Amino acid sequence: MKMSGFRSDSTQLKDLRITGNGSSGGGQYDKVKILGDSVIHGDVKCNLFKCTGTVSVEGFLESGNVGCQGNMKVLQGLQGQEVSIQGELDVIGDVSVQTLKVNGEIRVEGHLNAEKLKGQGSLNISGDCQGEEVIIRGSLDVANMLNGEVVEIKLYGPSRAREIGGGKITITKAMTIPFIGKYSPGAYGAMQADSIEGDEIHLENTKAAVVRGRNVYIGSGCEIGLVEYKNEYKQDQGAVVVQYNRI
Amino acid sequence: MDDDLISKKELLEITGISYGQLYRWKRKILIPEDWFIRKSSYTGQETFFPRHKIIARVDKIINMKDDLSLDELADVFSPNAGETSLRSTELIERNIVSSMTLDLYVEIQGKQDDFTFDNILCIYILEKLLKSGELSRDEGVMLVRTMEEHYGKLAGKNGELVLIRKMGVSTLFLTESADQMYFDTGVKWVIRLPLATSIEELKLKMNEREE
Repeated sequence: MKMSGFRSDSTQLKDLRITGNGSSGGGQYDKVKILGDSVIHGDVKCNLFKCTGTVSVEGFLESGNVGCQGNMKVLQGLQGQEVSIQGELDVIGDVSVQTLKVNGEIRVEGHLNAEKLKGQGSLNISGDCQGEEVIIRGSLDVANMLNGEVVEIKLYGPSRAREIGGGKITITKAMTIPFIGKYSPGAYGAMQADSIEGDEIHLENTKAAVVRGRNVYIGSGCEIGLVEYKNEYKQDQGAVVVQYNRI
Repeated sequence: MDDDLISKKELLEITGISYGQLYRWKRKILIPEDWFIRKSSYTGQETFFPRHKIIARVDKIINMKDDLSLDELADVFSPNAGETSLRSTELIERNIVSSMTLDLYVEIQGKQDDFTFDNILCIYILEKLLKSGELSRDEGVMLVRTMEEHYGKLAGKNGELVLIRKMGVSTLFLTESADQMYFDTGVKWVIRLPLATSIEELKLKMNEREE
């Protein structure tokens, strides 16, 4: 029997287990556990979603906690509490989660909204990326806006965001111990943005047209067109700033 | 009417808020996405806002943020209907609408025990317009019928309520935006009411006594 749609009755929810190759129609479960390679044809709503291997959800996934070691693909958006991925996460549609931890790669074709986002590796987001705490070690590509109360990026690869805004924005280059061949190209990456605006801004290896903030530090390797600051401005000798104004 | 824009820089200067606050409010959707208008300027891209709307909104947030959490505020500003439904006695006791308006509504729609947020919104708008004298009792009947039949289609959007009159004959309608609408010279605009404003007012009023 094909299972699809959500059952709204309050009877005890069942678990879904797939070992090896398998598929399911989706539905509502307590726990979903996948070991191997599987496809779920439809929406899934569950309290726990766990996958070791590869899973593709051809619908919307709404889950309490999500854990995946391997590859995970969701085709119509993801909503969850704590999501932890070791490997790759690919989502078409918006992602809205409390905590997102990724060791590896995330690609989102949509907006990413997380209370807490912690990533080691690469992040690729075609819309906005928002969070109270955005901590990234690796590289980042946000096509629209990166907005966070605390944004901390340690650059291990070429990164880009159209706009970065928030409370405290810190972009630093990676330590100078070379990771040979691990992150390419170059030993450490650089950030490129149209504008960076925040209360406290600390930048290294960053290229931006405009930087505006209360306290601004422009560190080595930066190329900035215009800096506007309110309280304090410091600039490293190894930075190029065309113009800076106090406003 | 939306041609009057204010740049982000000017907004921060006038209101004294910081970039951090502005971005925080944007994340919490206290400031709607479509108010951020990107235009090119000599430094590249700049963000502008509709002047009156954004200044009014920032003032409101600053005034209310001590009493309500940001999430509660977001709920106040959201064009989505509240979850609550109230009984008729509560509506009167909590001073949300007057018994006269409620009686009129019941006369038109029939008696009911529970009022959904959309019902209450309709009664609230009815009362507001009747009190201001812009709406006659007959037009009030029109308003209730139109709202009850069609408001659902606009739910979650920033709709407007419009009343026009020509030679003493009035027409009332709901639309998503009345910005681009032109009539012949005999037509007089009597009411143009953004529903979002009333939703905000109503939600605040309903929140007041809930603590």
